[in-house]
Amino acid sequence: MSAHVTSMRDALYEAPGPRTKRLTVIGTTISLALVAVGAALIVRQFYITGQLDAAYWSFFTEWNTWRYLLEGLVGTVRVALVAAVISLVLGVLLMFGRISSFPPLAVLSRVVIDFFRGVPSLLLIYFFFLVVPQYGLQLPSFWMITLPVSLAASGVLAEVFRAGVNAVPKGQTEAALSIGLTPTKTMLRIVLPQALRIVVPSLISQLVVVVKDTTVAYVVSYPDLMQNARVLITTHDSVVSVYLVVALIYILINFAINQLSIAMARRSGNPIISRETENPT
Amino acid sequence: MNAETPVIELRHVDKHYGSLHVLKDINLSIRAGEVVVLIGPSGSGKSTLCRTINRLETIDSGEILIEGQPLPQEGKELAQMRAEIGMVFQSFNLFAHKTILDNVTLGPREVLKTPKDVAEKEAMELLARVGVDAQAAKVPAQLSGGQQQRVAIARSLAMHPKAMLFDEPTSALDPEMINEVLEVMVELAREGMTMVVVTHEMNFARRVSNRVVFMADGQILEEGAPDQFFDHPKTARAKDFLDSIRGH
Amino acid sequence: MGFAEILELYGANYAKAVFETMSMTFVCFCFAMAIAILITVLRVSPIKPLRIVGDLYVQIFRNIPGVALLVVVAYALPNLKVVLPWKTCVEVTVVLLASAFGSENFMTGINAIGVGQIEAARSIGLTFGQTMRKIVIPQALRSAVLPMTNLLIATMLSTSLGSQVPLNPQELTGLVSYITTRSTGAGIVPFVISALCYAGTAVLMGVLGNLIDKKVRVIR
Repeated sequence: MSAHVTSMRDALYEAPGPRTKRLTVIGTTISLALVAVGAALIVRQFYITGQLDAAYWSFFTEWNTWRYLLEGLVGTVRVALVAAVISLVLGVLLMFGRISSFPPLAVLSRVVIDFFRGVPSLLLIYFFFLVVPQYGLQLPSFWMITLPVSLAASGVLAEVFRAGVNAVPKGQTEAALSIGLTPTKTMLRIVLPQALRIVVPSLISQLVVVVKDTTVAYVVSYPDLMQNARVLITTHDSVVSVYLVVALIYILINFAINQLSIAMARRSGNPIISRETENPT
Repeated sequence: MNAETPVIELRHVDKHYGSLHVLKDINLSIRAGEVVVLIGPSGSGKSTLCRTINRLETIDSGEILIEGQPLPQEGKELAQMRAEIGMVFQSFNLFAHKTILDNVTLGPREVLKTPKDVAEKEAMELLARVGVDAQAAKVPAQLSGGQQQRVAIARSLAMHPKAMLFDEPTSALDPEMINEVLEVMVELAREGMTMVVVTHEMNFARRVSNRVVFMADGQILEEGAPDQFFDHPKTARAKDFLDSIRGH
Repeated sequence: MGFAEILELYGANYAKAVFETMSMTFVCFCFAMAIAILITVLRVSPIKPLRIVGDLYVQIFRNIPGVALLVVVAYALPNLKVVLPWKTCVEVTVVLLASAFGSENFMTGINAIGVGQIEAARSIGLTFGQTMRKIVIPQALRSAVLPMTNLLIATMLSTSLGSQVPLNPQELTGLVSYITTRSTGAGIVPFVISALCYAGTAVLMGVLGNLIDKKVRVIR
């Protein structure tokens, strides 16, 4: 009896015999060499274009630089969290509309969901930035970025919630109805809490998308991390180092969020439902 | 190889999983036409032993010989040797994306280079033999467990194997489907197929096996003819085990 | 301004913008698929350094915001003597982003297969190559249809990054900005036209994807 669980990409291969072991060692050595050469070429390119000069990197040793970036990060976090909360509420409401037994509401919700899933968040930002002012309403820049980001996310979340509700075993609903709970109470007290628990990993993973969408805040001149990075660039006249550092910060943040989502999924045994896994229509 | 050479032979086979000693000095010899049943408590190493014969599991030391030739460790030679030993798994493992017919013809067409029409004709005969020819155009998910396992047996038979390994073939089946699979296996045994069967089905062992091998804690503790083993087990361990399963 | 007026003035622009968006989408998707296959091969290979490179590639490009990547490609690379035309910058960005998710989709497809079938393939004598060709790859591809449909839609949406660099002709999102700055009082119409183009295409892609998936999906 095989005692260990292997991930599929290891299961594709058998325990190697002597010949295979030799070939693997050769392959590993060659690829290590190739990777080293590749990395060296990249570093060399940095060197010969002068991008490794101290002038481009020394200001990163100053606290002022990091403080400014952190202030930008606070802006990003503010937008992301508020947008996340709004999109959660909207997402749940849209989901209820979609599964309601009142056909006009179901159809309308479906249209709204498909609209927000099918339109880029940048276009929605332009709506609040370019279109809304024409009708006399000048929103603060915070809302001009937070509202479109939350609308875009609410469409995806509505489908995530719907998948969560569908994942709650039918037996739960049947049992609740049979002890006399109304359909509404059944949904609110039995099904929804379980559905929410099921989709927690998926919600966390959707947070990554929200964080990514915040990077367009510069369009509306809201001071987030990207925006503050630009100021640093003009101050120190250093494009490459600043953009690379900021990109790395975003990658690390999003990587951490994704790892959290995976850890929660592993603990609860629930799969991560995302835009990628859900039905497109 | 002459008529005396065992089809499958294990000599002083040892295997560890980390610190766990799962196979301890196994010596086993299986002659052509023999039906050998491996039984024992779970964790005894009987499935592992079965899987080392076609190198789905490796061994740390010792030898495994198929028709007198050492079991190859890799590559084409290993693939060819495997083509001559069929295996039936507890969880059937049919190819989910292929029809029943394609499941059975894949091996002959790819490995034996049998032309398509010949392979399909033979496959339909085999499927009829195990009683699932009516399902030939379906996909595995549409069949019951018992039907899937019978297809799995046909898939192995299509390779004209010299011997067949069965790793708990009925353990994942609902009770009412166990018999249909056992019947197929009984037929195979009567036709002279060399079989190594890991199972808990005692009646099957009594009816059809030539030899029962009792394992516990990675060792072969006892072997003998079925009647002699079931009625008069020699070791205390075997007695306890038989009592525990006779309970129901 | 009314719908008819906007179309009269900018109808040609819209036609070009639709073409720009859709052609970028399909071209980028094809390149992204090719790279995704390559990256997946790296990640699935038995050679550790290659696996690490593949995994690193995916982690970088699935976690980096599109705008952050675009500015690196368009503004940082020139300082490293790599200067690309604006449109190519957008396309490179979109391809890199989509290829990471594409590889994830392939990996999900491979993971759905199960060790049992691989062992069964081995035990009837199939070689590694035959097992990959006949068992693994067909099932991975067929399971990946729905995620890849979603990826195609996501690729179309990410072409809106083109609005952040000077493109001529613009794509659908950039066009809204262009019209609004040119014609005061354009109102909501330019936005609605672009939005309907995107959303309508997304729904269409979804429907097609569902149809294909129903035909080829592997029932387990």
